[in-house]
Amino acid sequence: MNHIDRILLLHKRLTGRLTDSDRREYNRLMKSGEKQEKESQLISRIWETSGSYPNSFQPNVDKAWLQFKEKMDDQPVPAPMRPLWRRNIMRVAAALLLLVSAWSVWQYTQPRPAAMATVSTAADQQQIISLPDGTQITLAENSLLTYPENFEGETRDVKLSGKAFFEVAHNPESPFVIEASHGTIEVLGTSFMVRSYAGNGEEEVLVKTGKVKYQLPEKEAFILRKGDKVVYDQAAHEAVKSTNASFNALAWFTGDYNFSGVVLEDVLKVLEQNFGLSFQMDKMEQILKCKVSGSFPNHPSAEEILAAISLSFDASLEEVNPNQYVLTGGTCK
Amino acid sequence: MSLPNKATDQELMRALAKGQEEAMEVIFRKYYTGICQAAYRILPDPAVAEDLAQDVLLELWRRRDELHISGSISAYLRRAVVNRALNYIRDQRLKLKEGEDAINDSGEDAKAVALLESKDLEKQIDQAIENLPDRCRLVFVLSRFEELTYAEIAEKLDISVKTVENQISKALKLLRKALAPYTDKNLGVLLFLIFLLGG
Repeated sequence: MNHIDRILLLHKRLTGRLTDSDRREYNRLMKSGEKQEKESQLISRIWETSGSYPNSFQPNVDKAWLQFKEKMDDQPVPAPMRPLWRRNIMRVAAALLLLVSAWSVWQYTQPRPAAMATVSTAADQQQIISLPDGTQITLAENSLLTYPENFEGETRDVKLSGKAFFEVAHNPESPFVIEASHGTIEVLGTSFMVRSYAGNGEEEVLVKTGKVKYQLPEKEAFILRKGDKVVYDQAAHEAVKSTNASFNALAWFTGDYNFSGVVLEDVLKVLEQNFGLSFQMDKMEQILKCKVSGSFPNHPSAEEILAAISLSFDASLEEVNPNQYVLTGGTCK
Repeated sequence: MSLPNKATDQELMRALAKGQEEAMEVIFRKYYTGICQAAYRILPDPAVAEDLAQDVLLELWRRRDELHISGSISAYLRRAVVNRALNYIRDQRLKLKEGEDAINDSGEDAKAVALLESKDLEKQIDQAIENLPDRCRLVFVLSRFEELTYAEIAEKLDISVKTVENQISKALKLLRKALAPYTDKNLGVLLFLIFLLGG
């Protein structure tokens, strides 16, 4: 056995990731001589001691807090509490009372289920959910996520209606399972997006890193890797897989738009999806097939991107209805 | 309303959602050093590490209405700052120093190191980690402190699992080599005696 493998074997042991065959190999190695045993002790000692790195870097917390407080005060004040809620307070109270009593009856008659939590978002709103297992979910607009407060049992189960980006913490012992409107998605640990608005008739899974299993009823499961995408069309009961998908569909989350030679029509579709806009495509045929190149990092607004596009094609941008735009005139450059 | 001294994470998050600055101060004082150090391990520049830590905490304050933390606040912040630091490297297209491939390592062991006093060893190891080539250090700290698997590290850094394995092995060898000056046989015997007498 060569030297690299031996050090790696020690490392796997230290991180608790020896497989059965590794373990046999390790035991054999330890019996093979004093030198190997010493090496093992030494590497363990280095590993343990390194746990306190970086000892020498101790920031000045008092000074940092004063700095931070100023930045906090510069933040805009959040919108006031919904006054509508207060106006309807009697109605809400009555409904609540009804709910509470129904709930107690139900509670009485049910075996104790895991406590479930629900997070939902309005239009123009995102929510970040950080689960106890280290998984982070960013919920896009108009979406609903249901999840247990604590994961118990063999799988980590959540339910999604809407769009979300998942960064699932790795745990081979407990697969993470998402029940979407049509299919289910199963993973061990990876990051990907699911778009599954109830009643939309379409479902999409796009994988950013790692491997994901997507199962639709009565269909063969899809195994998706980095850059793979499946779009399911309910009307046709058909799912189409594509590879090398663009990550622009994730821009609502990453804030990073990258177009390299993408036709304008596709750019506008990305903007429609990410910003909830629409375009009068039929009125702009002369430039729809023009190619757009450019990158817009750091959460640009739709207006910024559209301004750059209209400038480069010499077209003018018009808002015909609220959130509905058209680009008039212009030619490919 | 004042916060109890030992407010739980859930209590802190509730107070935060109400916009209470004092909840933010409790969180800040409790976790700032830890988050700075987590960032520093990835980007060993004190000023950059503090900037990243403050960005992550400011994000917590700014998005306090949108955040639902079921796990611990510290795990959330730690994860956020590590991701931010890795993105920083990617966005700034920082050149990672690769160091030499071959390590002149005889495989002869630093027999006495195990007997060195902890404090000294800590200092030596800190220095040795700091001196690792960039990519090598990154792979090492992601394994050591973020407890990621080889596959997860490969994913985060966009390199192959094989490269991760090579870098882990290289890191451990370089650390061992850096401690070689302490392997002097006489010193070893001496320390061994001290160890026996003191033990």
